[in-house]
Order: sequence, then structure tokens, then C-alpha cells
Amino acid sequence: MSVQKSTVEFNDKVVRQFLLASVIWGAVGMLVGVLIAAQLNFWQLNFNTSFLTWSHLRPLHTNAVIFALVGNMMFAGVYYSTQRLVKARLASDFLSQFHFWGWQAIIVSAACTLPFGFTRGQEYAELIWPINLAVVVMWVVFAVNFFWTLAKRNEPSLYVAIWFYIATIVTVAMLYIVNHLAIPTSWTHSYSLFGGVQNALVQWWYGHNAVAFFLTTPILGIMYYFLPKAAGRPVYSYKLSVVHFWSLVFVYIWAGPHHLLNTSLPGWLQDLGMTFSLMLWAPSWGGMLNGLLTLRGGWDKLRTDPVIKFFAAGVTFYGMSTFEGPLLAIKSVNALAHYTDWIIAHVHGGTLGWNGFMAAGMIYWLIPRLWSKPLHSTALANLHFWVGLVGILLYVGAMWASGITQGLMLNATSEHGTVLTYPNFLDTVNAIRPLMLMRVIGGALYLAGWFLMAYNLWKSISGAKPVNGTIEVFAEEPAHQAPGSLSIAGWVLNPPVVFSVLGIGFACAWMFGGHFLSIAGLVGTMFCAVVAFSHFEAKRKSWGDWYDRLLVSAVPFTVLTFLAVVAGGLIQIIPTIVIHKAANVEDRRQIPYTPLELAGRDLYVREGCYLCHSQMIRTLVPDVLRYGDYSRLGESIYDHPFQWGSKRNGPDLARVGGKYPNVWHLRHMENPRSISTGSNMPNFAWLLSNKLDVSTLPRKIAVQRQLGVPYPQWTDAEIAASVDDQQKKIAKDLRDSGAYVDSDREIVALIAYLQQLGHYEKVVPTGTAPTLAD
Amino acid sequence: MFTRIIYGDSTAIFTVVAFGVAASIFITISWRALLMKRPQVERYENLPFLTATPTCAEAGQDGQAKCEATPQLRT
Repeated sequence: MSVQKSTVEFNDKVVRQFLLASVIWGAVGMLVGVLIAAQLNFWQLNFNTSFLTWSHLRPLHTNAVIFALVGNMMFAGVYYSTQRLVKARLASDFLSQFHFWGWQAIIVSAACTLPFGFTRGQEYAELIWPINLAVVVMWVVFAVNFFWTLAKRNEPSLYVAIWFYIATIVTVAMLYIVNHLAIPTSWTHSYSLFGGVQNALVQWWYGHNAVAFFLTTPILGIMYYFLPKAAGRPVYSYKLSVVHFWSLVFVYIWAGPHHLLNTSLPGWLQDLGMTFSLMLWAPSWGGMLNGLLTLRGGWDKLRTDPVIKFFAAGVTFYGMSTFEGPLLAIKSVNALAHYTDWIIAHVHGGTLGWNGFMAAGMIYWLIPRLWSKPLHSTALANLHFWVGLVGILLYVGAMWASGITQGLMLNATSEHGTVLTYPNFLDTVNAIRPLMLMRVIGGALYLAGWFLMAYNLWKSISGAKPVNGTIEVFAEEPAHQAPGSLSIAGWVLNPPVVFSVLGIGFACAWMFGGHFLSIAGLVGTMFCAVVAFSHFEAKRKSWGDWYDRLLVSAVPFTVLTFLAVVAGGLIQIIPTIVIHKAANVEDRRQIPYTPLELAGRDLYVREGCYLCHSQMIRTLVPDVLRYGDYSRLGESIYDHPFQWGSKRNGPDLARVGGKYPNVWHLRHMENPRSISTGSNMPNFAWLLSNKLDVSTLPRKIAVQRQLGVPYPQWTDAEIAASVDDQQKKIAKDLRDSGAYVDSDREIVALIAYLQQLGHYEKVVPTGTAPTLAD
Repeated sequence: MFTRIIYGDSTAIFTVVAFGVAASIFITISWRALLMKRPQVERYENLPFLTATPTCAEAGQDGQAKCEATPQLRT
């Protein structure tokens, strides 16, 4: 067997491209963030223009910082470190370039659609369906390029950073595809396949795990590679990193329901979300300590090296955020914090502190390695760190104080808990205005730091030669499977996998089966556990060998990681799909919208109302006192997408229907301050002049019917007649109240929708859902 | 079984079983990690250092930036 020596030149061009894109898009995303923060203080900054209005720009901000800033930074870090860890060039230059330009095209598409109201109406999943498809294609390209590179690797062992990258790729693919399943009604609009509580669960299963597997696991992989490199010493404990990885992957995926505590989500799911969130404390803090202790003996570098500064602070913010997350997932804490700025503080502690600082540390470390020139100014990088840190502390401190203040005021009661102390929602908004202003200053400081980095980067690379790293590798010919790795049969037919599959099968029969099957499942589960333990005791070495070989086998490792994350999702989602059926709903059931109300609802989604107004009255006394009877699961069962919301910049709207006359809504939408003095809500005056598009309603109703909403088989003419009839009634009522508006304007449809909110029917015990025709 | 899943007490079993499964996995993995032998750990933890990542340092007193020479420069 001959040994061949060859020189591998890494593809660092694509790393440089992603790195520059991250800096540029990061600046754009954060600039929009500062603007929308200022808009909450100064409503005039909405400029009475739809595409510059808060609710249109907020999705642009979140999508830009998640998918453009962190996405590009992640791709740069993954591609750079993977090539060096596996000692191989990226598998395909074409796929690398396709990935880069395709991803930038997606970002540009998002920037061209979100401000104009093209949205799916679900947080962090707003992009319309053609862009969703493009995202899936680009993710597949990324996955193929990555796994192909692993297949060509010259280093058999898989370092723990690679494990985190694998978990990221398979989990994000699963989450993104499932949560974006939808039926299109046009090229720019679709209805989610899921509705009501089902949609809420799937959305937050996605939303929470987007944080976990897009903003956390890839950055942890980056931490495990770049932090030891910057510190010049190996990770503090490799054993701890193994525990960190597996426990994080197994536990994270279950915690999504903590976004829906005290809502009408079934109690067992809320308990599950809370329990697993608390369990996350252990692996998260294990990872944080592992990162910080890697700097042991090298803390003196903190004084001089900006890279170490950013990494140390970034990992500390990771620890802080992952302490705060489980804390917020405790039901009683959540009752205070949910829907308030405390959540905004938590999110920004993670994104600005963990993601932003880890990105900055990585970028400063990479600049002198990707271009043959030292960093332009270390002093400027240090200044960036301090300006950014002060910015984060101002931002997060202000939002903590704001969230707790508003939470306490909204929940305050007197007269033995029977009367609200602050019945006017605006009292709580005005109390936090100075804190919201401090948030603007904090955000602006952080952005200023980012611009310092962009300037430093520009000066560093001006006139510099891009450099691609190289390595000499010694490959045996012919290239066989790496010694010790598992064959296809080997990773299926082995004791741990066989006993796990059998055990899960019996457990499913026990929990989901009928009477006999359930008993058989229970016996089988116990029998399987006993046999597995006996086998483990007798053949301990074969179990250990399998695990060791797994660590050098990319395919089985990926499959097992996928199974680990898919289990949590299935156990939560499958029962929810069953209970979501109208026939299984007890107590109250939603009345399907009329065609005009449906059109109004689409406007509500388009304008991003859900970003400031929830439609979920929690099972909490202050919520019920303020907004009315608590929301039932069946009351939103036909909502595609659900609009429960996650933040209350304004009051809940679940039972606003009939609370005010039509003319109140018209005046309020035209100029909120004419009705509510001191309101910070933008004007939505264009709704009074825009003509309602009813041409798409027949298709939309047909899709709603496909999704299970009990609409009758209306003809187009019947739909048009229904719309016309309801429009005229509302327009007449407005005229009688002194407001003159054409009946075919968008505001009329929106009023129809708002006035319907909170109406329901009592469930008939026999079960079947009545239709509008009934 | 699921038709009364909103109200039925039996559904608490999901939370208990899920906790048990996750806890057992956590213990198993921790045990496996603890059993890793020192040479194996050293091999893994040094993987980031097997490939050199040469850098350019800031200019010293002589005013010249110092770049390590290993990589081939490509424009």
C-alpha cells in the first residue's frame, strides 16, 4: 500500500465572501433595529408610509439579523473551520459559489417583500412561499457541500465542532420545512397547513429551535474551534463538550412550548416545555464553563487581545441568556414577563452579546489570516468592544427594567384581586417611555461599534492580497473506509440501536395502543429494558466499541442526531394534530369568518398587527380582568395562520369584537392619537384610501376549505354578494356615525374582522362542526 | 385516548416519560464521556491544532508587518 503526499489548498474565497456579507447585512439589520426602536418612542418616524411603518420593518429587522448577519457569519465559520478540521478543501467550488450568491439573493428578496406587507404572518417565518422554497434549496446546497466535504476528508476523527454543525444542518432543515408547509393562494400568498393551537405549537417548536439550532449550535461549534485557537490551548474539557453536545441536542428540541405558557395550549405540553427548559440549565452552563475555562492561564490576554475580549464576553452572555431562558420558562415568572420587554431583553442579550460578539471575535481573528495583512488597528477593535459592551448593557438593562415595570403594572390588582390598579393600557406604555429611549441609545452605541469594525475591516483589506490556506496531507492508496468506522449494516445491526428501536416501539404501543396493545407494550418495554441491561453487562465492550466507532462515522452519526431531534417534535406534534380536529374540541368553537372578515384578517396579517397585539387571553386573573374571559383552544381552531402573538406593545384583541363601535376603529386606524391620547401606534391611514382586492377571495376560500375550515361550496358570485352586502352595512353604519368612506375600502374589511373577534359558538355534544351554510 | 387530551390527567405521563428518557440519555452520555481514555481525549482536543492557521501580526518597532510564511499566496 503506497502513501501519497499532496497539498490541499482550502477554498477561503467563499469564507471571505460570507464574512463581508455578514458585516454589511449586519449593519443594515441593526440600522433597521435602531429605527424601529426609535419609532416606539416617536411615532412620527413611521412617516405615515406603509413600507416604513414599524410593523412592516420589524420582520425585516429580525430576519436580517438572524438569517443575514448570523447566517452569513455561520457559513463563514463553518466553512473555514470544517476544511481545517477534516483537512480537505470544500467539495465543490460551484456549490460554494451557488450557496453564497443564492443566500444573498434570498436576503435581497426578503428586503424587497417584507416592508411591502408580503408576509406569512408568523414570527421569523414571515417570508413568502417562493422565498421559502429558495431557502430550502440553498440549505440543501449547503448540506450537500458540507457532507460531501466530510466524505472526502483526510482526517477520520470528527471534532466536536463538526458534531454541532451536523446537528445544525439536519435540524434546521426539518424545522424549516415542517413549519413552512402551506398551500399557496397566489404567487405571493399562502395559508399555513396548520391552524390554531396546532399552528402555535409548530410555530414555536420552530421558533424556539431556530434560536437553538440556528443561533446557538453552529456558534457553539464555532466557539469550540475558534476559542481554543485564539487562546492557543485545547478546550478545557473535551469530555464535557461531549456531554454538552448530546444533552443539548436531546433536550433543546422539547422546550418550544415554553413560548405558550398559561395559554390555551394543553397543560401537559406546557409542563413538558417548562420541564425541559429547566433541564437546559445543565448543558448550557456546562458549555459556557467549558468555553470560559479554556482561557485558563491566558486571562492576561484579555487586556490586549480584542479577539479574546469578544470571545470571553460572548461566552459570558451565552451563560447569562441560557440562565435567563429557563428562568423565564417557569410558569409563574412567565406570567409576569411574557408579552413584555423582558423577553426583548433576553433575546438581545443572546443576539447582541452571544451572536454579535462571537461574530466580531471570529471576524477579527480571521482578517489577518484571510488577507495577507495585519488588522488595521487593534485599538479601534478594542474601542469597538467597549462601545458595544456599553451598548448591550444599556439596552438589556433598560429592557429588563421596562419589562418588569410593565409586567407588574399590567398584573397589579386591588380590592383583593378584583379590580385592576392600572386599567388603562397606555398608563403602562407611558411609564416605560424613558426606558424605551435608553434602548435606542444602547442599540445605537452597539451599531456604532459595528461600524467601527466595518471601517477597521475596510482599512485592513484595502490593498491586501487574499490568501488561501494550505496543508500537506498524506493519503493511503487506494482510499478505503477509515479504519474503525462503521459500515451501513454495522450502524444499524448493533446492540444499542436494536434495543433502542425495540424499546421505543414497545413504549409507543404502551402509550398509544388500545387495551391489549397497551398492556403488551408495557410488558415489552420492561422486558426490553431488562434484556438490554443484561446484554450491556455481559457485552460491555461491544457497546463501547460501537460508540467509539460512531465518533468517526459521519453518516450514522448524522442519522442518530436526526432521530434524537425528531423524537421530541413528533411526540409533541402528533397528539396536537389529533386534538385540533373540530370534532374533538370541547366547550367553545370558532365560527368561520365571512368572506369579508377573511379579507380583513389577511389585511391584519399584512399590516403585521400581530407583532404588537396578541389574541390570547391567558388563564391569569389580571388578563381576564383586563381583556375578558380566557381564550379557549377551540376559539382559534380555523385560524391559518394563528395570531396569538408574542408581545403586547398594545392591548390584547381576542375579544375586541363589539367592544367599540365601527367608527371608533376607523378613527383609531386613521390616527390612534385622536382616540387614545399618548398612543405610540403608527397611523394606518392608507387603509382608508386603498381599494380592497376581492378577486383572490374565491381561491382563498377554496384553500381554506382544503385546510378543513367548514365553508360551503360558494360560487364566485355568492362570495361577491356576501362581501358587497357586509361592506354596505358597515359603510352605512359609519355614515350614520359621521364618517364617510367608500364601502370597498380596505378599512371596511378590517373593521369587519375586528368586530368578529371573540365571537364563538357553544360546542354541540354530538361532535360534528356546523358550517356557515347551517 | 386523545379526544380528552386537554382535560385528562393521564396525559401527565408524557412529561414524566419524556423526562425519564432524557435523563437516562444524559446519564448514559456522561458515563461514556467519563470513560474516555486520556490518549483518545488528547487526540480529539488537539484536532484544531493539526492544521496551522498562519497570521499577520501588527507592525513592530521596525514598522514592518510580520506575516508567517507557510501559506501560498493567491490573488
